[in-house]
Amino acid sequence: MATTSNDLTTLDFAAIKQNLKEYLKSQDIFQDYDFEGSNINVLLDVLAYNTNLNSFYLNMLSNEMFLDSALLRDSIVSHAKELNYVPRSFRSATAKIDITLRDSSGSGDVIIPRGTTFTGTLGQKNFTFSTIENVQAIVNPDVENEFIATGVTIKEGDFVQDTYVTNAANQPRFLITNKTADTNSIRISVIEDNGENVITYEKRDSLFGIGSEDQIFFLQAAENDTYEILFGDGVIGRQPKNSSIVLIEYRICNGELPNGIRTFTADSDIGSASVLNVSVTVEDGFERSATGGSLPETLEEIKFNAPRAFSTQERVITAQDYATLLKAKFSEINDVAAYGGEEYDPPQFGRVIVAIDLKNTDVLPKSNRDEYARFLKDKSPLSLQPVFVTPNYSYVMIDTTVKYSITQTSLGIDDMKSLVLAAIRNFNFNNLESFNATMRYSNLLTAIDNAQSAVLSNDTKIQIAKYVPISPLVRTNYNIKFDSPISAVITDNFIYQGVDSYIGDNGNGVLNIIKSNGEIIEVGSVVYTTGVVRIDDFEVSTKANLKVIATPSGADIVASKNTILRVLDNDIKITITQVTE
Amino acid sequence: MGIKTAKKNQEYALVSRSRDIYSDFNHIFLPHPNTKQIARKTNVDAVKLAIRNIVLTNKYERLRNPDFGGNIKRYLFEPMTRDTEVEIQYDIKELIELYEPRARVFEVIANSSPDENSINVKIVFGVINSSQQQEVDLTLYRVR
Repeated sequence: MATTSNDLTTLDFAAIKQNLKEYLKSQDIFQDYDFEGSNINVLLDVLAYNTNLNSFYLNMLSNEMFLDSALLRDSIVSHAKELNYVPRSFRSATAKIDITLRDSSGSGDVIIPRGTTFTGTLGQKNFTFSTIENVQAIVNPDVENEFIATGVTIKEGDFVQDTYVTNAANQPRFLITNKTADTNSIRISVIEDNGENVITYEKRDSLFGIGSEDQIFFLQAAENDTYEILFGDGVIGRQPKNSSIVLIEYRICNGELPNGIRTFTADSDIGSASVLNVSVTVEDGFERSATGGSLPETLEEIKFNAPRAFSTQERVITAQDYATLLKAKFSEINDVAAYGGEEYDPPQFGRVIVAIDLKNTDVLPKSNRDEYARFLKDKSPLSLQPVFVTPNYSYVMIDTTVKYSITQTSLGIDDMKSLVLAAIRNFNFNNLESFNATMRYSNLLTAIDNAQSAVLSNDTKIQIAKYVPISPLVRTNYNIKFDSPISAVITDNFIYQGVDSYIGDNGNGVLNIIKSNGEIIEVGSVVYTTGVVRIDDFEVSTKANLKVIATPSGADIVASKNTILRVLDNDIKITITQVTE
Repeated sequence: MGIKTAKKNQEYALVSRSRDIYSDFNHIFLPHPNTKQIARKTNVDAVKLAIRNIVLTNKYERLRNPDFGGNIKRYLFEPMTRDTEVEIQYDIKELIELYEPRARVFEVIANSSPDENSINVKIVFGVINSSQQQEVDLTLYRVR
């Protein structure tokens, strides 16, 4: 009799074969199944191999059927498509430049055409950037024949085209054939009636308000890391005529590689104008060097973002909607925190406060704020206006003394210092650098202890620092909030009334300027329980930022809703002690 | 028809149970003339068949079992000297001891025939729990 206790769940070849052997034990016609040289053993190999292949196939098939368990990009992209989610493609790095031109031809205005190229240099590598629209340079009233264009947006990459001919009987798929295409740069022209009409199509993300003659196209992800263009069918959106030529123009780029470029040169003269100088635009004190270049969304990111993007329905209602939509659209954004204006200080009723942390910078330039506002305009409720603010940054200062055993490792002091530094950097990357992050003191100690197996213990002290921009030569009141209880405050040194000085508290809630000549001047107050520091009527001329350092009362540091905790390398002090244990 | 087949199966099973210690099917897959069931190799014949399979299987030939087999045929492309014959004898003995626990090898004799590009192998062995000496003769050709 056949046994019925076969293991149905195994996928392993050897286990399947053993399963078959167990089954054959119930008969005695062919008994040699256990001997490797027998014919029936060969037959068992074939059966087990076949079962193994089928099991693998079914297992993979069922895995790929769900977004959670799918492993292949094509499957994940297909599931995302069901959620109306288009994964982010490569994104070009963007920079803003000021261009000075000389044109002696007297032809009037100087127009910098769309597609004018500039070379950005980073180390030994050059990248091509180009303008994304026509820009008019204005006359420099101070210098004859000189023209200036400021804040010109340039994006990295080269423009390429895919061309198709429509065929009603056998319509081709309109694929973006380059895997490094930035889909934000797609422009589509359709040449109809043997060149008599050139029709420009615009990208749309939803069906709202689309008529039968609207010249729109949709973008969707396709197989093999590519994207596909879909035109209307004559009911929803205009359908290109038969035998029309479809020109799909887009930029192919190098993703994140050009980020950080701040040196640009023009590749050629612009019309009759020669380029005298190209420099990076400075906006709100922030250099608009190349940023925002990124690789396509990873599989994990697609799995995370697609259901959330679907739940937003292209509308920003909840706080999470702001983060989901903005992060999906703008690759330069590191994190987003949104909350009602009534919680802001001072309260702003009817507004939504959106704090945005950009990658590689602590500034949120006005042009970015305007761009985000434009993007959210059609997506937010009528009565709610988003207000974009720069996050508050709190810097965690770490002073650690690490003890390690030299009997357990041959590493030297410098090696150990590097490992501890790397551990703290990892801790910062994995636990901080985002909104609503809390710095858990015990986790930091554990991270340092785990930097290397020979580390025996660490004695670590932490402080919080804030950089307060100083209004030079203006008597100003400063209100600094640490958001958690503190026990002491001190600042870095500055020159006050010609004397080297600093500010410190006296332990009773009074802030004093302590001059190096011994003079003490009261300058404000501290509320230890709330972590609020007030510096009143303070004027200093020799400083741009005052570094205010507080010692937290508790072990953990909790950040408020629009605060980002961060550890800078300069704020890490590591002392290594060797012991023989 | 079904009853007839079932009856034959029963007879087949009863006969096999009573006499056979080892039983395998024949690789030519021909039916038995009387029972019309697949022809079997039993006892000593089954062991001989297994020995032939082991010696004639090359490594990487068996599914998911790349180590199985002896690669004996590679010697056909070596110089046909006495040294090669000794190596063949040694390899085959080791192979059978490794993969065929039912056989106890007494002797392996390899004789090369350079004119025919072949090697004749005689394996002399005994089946465990049997006093009779058995032989398997194989001829290795360069082309099957």
